[in-house]
Amino acid sequence: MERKEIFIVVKKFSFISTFPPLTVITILLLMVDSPHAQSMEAFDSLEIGVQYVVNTNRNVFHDFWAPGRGIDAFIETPFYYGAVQAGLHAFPFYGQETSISDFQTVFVYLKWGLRWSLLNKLDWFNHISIGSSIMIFDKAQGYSRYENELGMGLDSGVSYPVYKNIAINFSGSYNVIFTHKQIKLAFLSAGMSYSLSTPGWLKAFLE
Amino acid sequence: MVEGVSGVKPVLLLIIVALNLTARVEGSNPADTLLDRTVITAVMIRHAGLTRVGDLFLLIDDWNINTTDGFTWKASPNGLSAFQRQNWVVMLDGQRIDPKVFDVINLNMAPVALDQIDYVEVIGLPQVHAGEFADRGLIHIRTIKPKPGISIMGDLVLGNETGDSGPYRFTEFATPNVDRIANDGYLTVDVGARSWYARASLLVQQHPFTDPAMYERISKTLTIYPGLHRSIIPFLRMGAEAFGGTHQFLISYPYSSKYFLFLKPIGREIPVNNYLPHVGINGSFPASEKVDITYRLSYAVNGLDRYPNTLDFDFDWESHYLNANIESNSNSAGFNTRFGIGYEQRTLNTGYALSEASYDIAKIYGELIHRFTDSIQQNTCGMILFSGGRTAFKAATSNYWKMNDQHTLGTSLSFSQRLIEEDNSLWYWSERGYDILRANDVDYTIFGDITKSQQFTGDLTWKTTVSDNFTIEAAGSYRLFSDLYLERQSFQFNPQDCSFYSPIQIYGGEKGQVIGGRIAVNHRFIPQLSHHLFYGYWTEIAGDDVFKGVWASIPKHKASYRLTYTPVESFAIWAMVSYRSAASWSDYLNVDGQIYEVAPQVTATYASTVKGAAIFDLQIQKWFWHGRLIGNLLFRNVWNQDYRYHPIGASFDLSMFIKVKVLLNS
Repeated sequence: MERKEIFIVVKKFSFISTFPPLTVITILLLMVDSPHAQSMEAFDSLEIGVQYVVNTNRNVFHDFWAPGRGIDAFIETPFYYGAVQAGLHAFPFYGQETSISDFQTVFVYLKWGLRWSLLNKLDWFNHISIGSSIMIFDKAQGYSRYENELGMGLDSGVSYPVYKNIAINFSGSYNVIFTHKQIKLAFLSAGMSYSLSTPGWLKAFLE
Repeated sequence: MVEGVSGVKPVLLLIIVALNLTARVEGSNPADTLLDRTVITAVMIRHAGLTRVGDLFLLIDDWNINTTDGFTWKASPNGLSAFQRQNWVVMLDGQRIDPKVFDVINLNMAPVALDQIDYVEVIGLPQVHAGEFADRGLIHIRTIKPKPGISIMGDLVLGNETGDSGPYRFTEFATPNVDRIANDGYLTVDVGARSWYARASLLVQQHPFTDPAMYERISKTLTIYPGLHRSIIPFLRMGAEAFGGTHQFLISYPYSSKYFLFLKPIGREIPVNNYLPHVGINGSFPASEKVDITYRLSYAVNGLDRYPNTLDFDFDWESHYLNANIESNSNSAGFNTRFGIGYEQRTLNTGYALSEASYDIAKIYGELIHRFTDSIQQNTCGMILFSGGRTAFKAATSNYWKMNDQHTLGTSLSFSQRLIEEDNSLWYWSERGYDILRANDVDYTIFGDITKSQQFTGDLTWKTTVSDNFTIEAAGSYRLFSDLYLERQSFQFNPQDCSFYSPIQIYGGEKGQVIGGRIAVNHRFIPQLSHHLFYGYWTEIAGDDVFKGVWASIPKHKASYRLTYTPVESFAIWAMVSYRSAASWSDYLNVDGQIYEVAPQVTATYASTVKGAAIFDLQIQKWFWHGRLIGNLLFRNVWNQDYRYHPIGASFDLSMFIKVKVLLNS
């Protein structure tokens, strides 16, 4: 039985064994630069994308829920360093038993990352994400049907322009939802994105 | 053992004056050093990861802090007291406010929003300040005066502490939803003209008392759970220029519904409705070419209404507090003098039969600031209090010697007596018939005289300015206390409702000495990047057993590192790593190892030693719409350490806060 021994047990720095994004982000924001960050001004352009998502890993969580198919929608713009992305990731999970409620997760997130140009217009991007995972349960069973929990993730992928401002994207991501018993999920995504110049009024707002 | 100071009082006073009159040096502008106080500016507050006024304590390095619930803080102000005897003063724009009840001062009930603060003066060295003698510390919040025109400002803070059950609620891994942080916000309308202004504000706060460590004992006091506390703080501030001076008026009505007041003597939280109306006026005007008159008048109530609880606990408490003073300030070549008189009256309305339902305190005080040369300044102040036929003397003197462009040396010495009336203590009122404890089957015994205590303090501060961007400040401090009254308890665990109980002994005549030191480094690499490093140390070096036990609850070591990075005007990153060492709470020795199983997956184990912890907080801040819209993303305890401040208090897991602020100007 997993026990949370408070008062007596002092965890060692648990970021070593669990998840380092927030520690890493501080260092990265201060130190890292990228070719794209230098070549583009903040908020100059927008990239709007949609991706089809599948859950690829299996762990204790999947003993109780089977994953469905999900969707991820985002909007990305160059930041002072790297790029920022805001989006949401919707994914259904189905209870393996009738006593276990199906639920939808909507992960509303912010991402920050860097992008490098590889061969033949192929871009490689990496992001770190932070957001709120909103869980919507089909059954309440004495509780609220809704619950929020902090989630963090990492993703890495490639992007390739196929026609004018349209690109196709493939990526893999790993997310942790900080429930008492943490939920760790890996995803593969494929989709398309469309780039455009940021309208003046929006750029003025963002600046 | 240490000797009491009451017999050597005249000698100490002479020493204080003599030591400080011997200093002679050269230089310029020593008063600029601010060695006698810490100032937290609006810029520091704006960049830091704070969500409530009480969070200001996270920026006060030389005050140790402690909390059971994460909402209400206790402080040990620069070694001027332990966590027992919370007697630091809270002032807002020149008016003393009264958020204290039963050794608990809830700064979050102050009628002010973080965004309205111009700066905060934190006084950790005894001195006269705004008509008060700050012998146990003082926090003075100064707000920004509304600009001409109409401004509307507001924010919304959403917080979430990790560790909920999530979908596992449907499985054998189910745990209760014990880790929540609710929503805060405020709305302000400012109207400013050339010679007057008005500000109307409404603050709302929510705080859940749902941590595993307090879950059971709180839930057993309520007929309906959860333990979500709400407070609402409406206030109106007005100011005007008239008669050649400035005048301010404040009226507020903070109200807390289902606030869980941690009453240490009974070892648990009691749900109450707490109301704290305040009305006050203060200002200054010239009486002649060289003399200004400053006046302050305020009236406040601090009441505890019964909230339905299974213990049938009813405080039946309504404290009325009147504070008034008037002082003259005069300037002449090299001298600044201040003389004042003050009056306080406190009345308790209760159903208990009291032998005396009120007391008065009259005070006379003065301050002399003398600039001997451009490089040396001496401040000497004193106050005499009268109450119930007893008298208390308070005096402090400090020197600031600017040795050259780089180095400044400050000394501060003080001696003060303190009457129990100044404390507005539970024990004072218990002795007069407010028998709330015995009415609830809690026994207490007072040993010795608790009417008056003394303290002597000495501080030596050195500040060096390496460059415009680099300063180092170091200090050493000594405190001698005598005739304190301190509580000793030996709590037992009650597994029926996971509460703690103990009879109480209050010992008067307690003596002891503590020493401390600190060093603070401020450095700005480049205009966009600054950082601050602090290390502080406190330890008792002599004293009675009860005194030593009480001081052992204060961590000996405290350190913090803060970094602010603003690569562009509209974007900022703030990070803080703070550390405090372990602390031992002797009152809780008998609860070591006691376990409460919140759920099959969650167990709370209580211990008298609070472990040391290093905590990392991170905030990312972005301005939009030319500064009219500000978004903050704050993470507390990024490393997800299992840490707490109190043996039976809450632990604080990784938490995320989103704060959105809107500012609209006409």
